[in-house]
Amino acid sequence: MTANQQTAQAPHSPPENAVGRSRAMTVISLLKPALSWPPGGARAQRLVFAVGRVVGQDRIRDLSMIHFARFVIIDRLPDYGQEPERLRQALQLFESNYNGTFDQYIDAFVDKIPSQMHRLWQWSYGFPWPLTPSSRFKEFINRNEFTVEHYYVAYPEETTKTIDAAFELLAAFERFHAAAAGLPPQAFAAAYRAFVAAQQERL
Amino acid sequence: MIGALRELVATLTALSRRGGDPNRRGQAYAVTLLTPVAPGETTRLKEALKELPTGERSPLAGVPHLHFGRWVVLDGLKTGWQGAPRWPTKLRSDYLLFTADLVVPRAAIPSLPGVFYADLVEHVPVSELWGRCFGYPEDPGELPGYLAKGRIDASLYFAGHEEATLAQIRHAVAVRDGLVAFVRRHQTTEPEELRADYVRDAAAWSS
Repeated sequence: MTANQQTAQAPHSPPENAVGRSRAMTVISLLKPALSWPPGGARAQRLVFAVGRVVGQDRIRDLSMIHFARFVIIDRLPDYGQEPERLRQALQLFESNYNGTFDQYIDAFVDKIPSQMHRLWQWSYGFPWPLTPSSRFKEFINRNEFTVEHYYVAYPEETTKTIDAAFELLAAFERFHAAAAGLPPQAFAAAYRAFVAAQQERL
Repeated sequence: MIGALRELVATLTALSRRGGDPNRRGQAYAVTLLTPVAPGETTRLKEALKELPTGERSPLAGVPHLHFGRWVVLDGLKTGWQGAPRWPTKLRSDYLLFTADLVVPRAAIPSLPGVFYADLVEHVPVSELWGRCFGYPEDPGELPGYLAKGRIDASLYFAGHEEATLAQIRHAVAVRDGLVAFVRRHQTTEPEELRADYVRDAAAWSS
């Protein structure tokens, strides 16, 4: 088995991790044991995630960069008859499909939701706190990030923002269509011009 | 003090159970599969993954309701940096990680993830990929169960558009693109022609 090479370059995302306007992030960190600082380890991290499932995720949604993301705590590996694994530390997988550059993505987390980042990563070895300057968090992510071998995106040229805008435009269009499609030409033209003017930002 | 802490943990745990299936968020569903790679097969597995057609020709493009999917080969954990544990976990096998994000119609939620494994087997060349992993079954009928065995639950899942199916997104994007093209073509069109063209084109956007 060969360990992944470490990079001495500035933090960046491998080009293989991008398709169109979407990027794949795959990060695996090692979780501290229960008797460490801060105390709790993987068990506490799991509890934080469990609570996060029922409280709002609005702050993450507000970043408007993430299509889908997940955290997975791995404390045992599936048994297919391979040589048994002994995990000294539980693994934390973070996987994200996001828009923008690696720098923009990490900076958004550091600038807008640093305390949430602390809750999500505080039991990972090497997690830097405080997060500023953001280069420290970028280095942490970069040294634990894997390169994707095959990445599929169903709508590679769309971002979360363009999808939101498309749904808003669709709703406005349906209202316009219901109200104006049956109008005589002059009245239709006036309604059409008003619709286009109102939706200029989404067109 | 300890009693109060225990009560707090019990309350938080009970609260978290209200969240239901941890892999689900609205109509979105996260699939995470980890399968050990057979000894000596890592390089050939990577090559097979690199040779898969990409974009619209990717085998994953045919899998229903799939928004995002990826394969990653974990050939060792990254532990050679300052601050890493003194005795870090070392994996004895390499692992194939597969993740997918689905958004299904509400009525299809109970069929997940089972139906997804069958869809994967139907559309993806599983023998070229998982065929290089431990325990790959000879009987194709066992493949969905083989894949399911590697499933690991998400601990926390976020979906930006948790109720927007692929068909809904594609429809919204198609209407937007149709409208943009229409507006560009009709900057100075007279009302009679504008309405006639609109009636003709709008019918296509609605289909």
